[in-house]
Amino acid sequence: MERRRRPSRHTLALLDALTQRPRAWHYGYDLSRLTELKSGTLYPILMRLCERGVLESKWQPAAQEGRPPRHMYRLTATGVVFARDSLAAQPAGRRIGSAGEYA
Amino acid sequence: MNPRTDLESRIARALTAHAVRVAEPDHAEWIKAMVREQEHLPPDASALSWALGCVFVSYRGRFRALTRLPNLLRWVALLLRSVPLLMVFLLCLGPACWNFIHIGESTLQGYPLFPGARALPYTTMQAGLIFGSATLIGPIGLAAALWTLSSPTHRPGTMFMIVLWALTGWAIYMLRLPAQYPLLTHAAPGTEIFTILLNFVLLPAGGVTLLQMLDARRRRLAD
Repeated sequence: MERRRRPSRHTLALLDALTQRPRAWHYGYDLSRLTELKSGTLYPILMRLCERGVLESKWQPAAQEGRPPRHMYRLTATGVVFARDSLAAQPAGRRIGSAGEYA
Repeated sequence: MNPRTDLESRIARALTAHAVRVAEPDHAEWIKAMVREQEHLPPDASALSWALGCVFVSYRGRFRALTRLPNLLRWVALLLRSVPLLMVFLLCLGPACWNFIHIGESTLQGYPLFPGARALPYTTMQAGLIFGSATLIGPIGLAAALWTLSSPTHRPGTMFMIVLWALTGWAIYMLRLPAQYPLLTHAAPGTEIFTILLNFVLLPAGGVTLLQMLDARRRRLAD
């Protein structure tokens, strides 16, 4: 049976940022800025959530000529439910405010 | 762009290139995503910090792949299988390696390399360079052997074998230089000359021959 751990505060910060606009696609840097997570912390979480089917990803051609395409992420339908459940299950005292403000 | 920013972006590019190189195949797509995202960072964002994240994620993936149980078992099995070969390589190339360290240390401290070295027409530094280079076969050969043994598919390659044989030839040539060591004519077993010949030339040549055989076998398997 797969072991389901409680999401870490970094994961919760990311889920919180993503649920602000649940069906919108987000760039890695935007998520890093919103959650205040460094790239080395953010991407392992993105990888894990994609593997679990919480997130989906796609390559988006760059808007500007000569720039490389970018990877984008958004919550899947099950991911939206998972994110809301995980955020709701948080003790009231832990959640301070917007994304990145988890104690 | 000021010099500091330029330097920072060059370091960041070097770091991301390194991250791409060390990425595990499973992680390659993600590292590519991180590297490409770096190209889109606004000017006020730190490319260096982002690049360090790339390197961290790359090594994290590599470490995890390495410590997965099947991989660990493979490494243990490989090590056990390689122990006899490892011992032979240590026996062949270890003395030259030790001599390399000893000569380096003596040269740096200004001690004579061996009795009679003062009679040679060289300064301590010149003698150190001459005899030190004759023992280079030790560390280089041993590193090649360890690298080859670390995987069932790694092989030194033709160019590298040419370099190793050239170093062996260099050792023979260098040891002919001191006139009081007529190596190839007076090296009877049990003499000091024979010991030097054994440690500097014969054993390393044996190690290189073994490496050559491994190289040829793996090349045949690859074909």
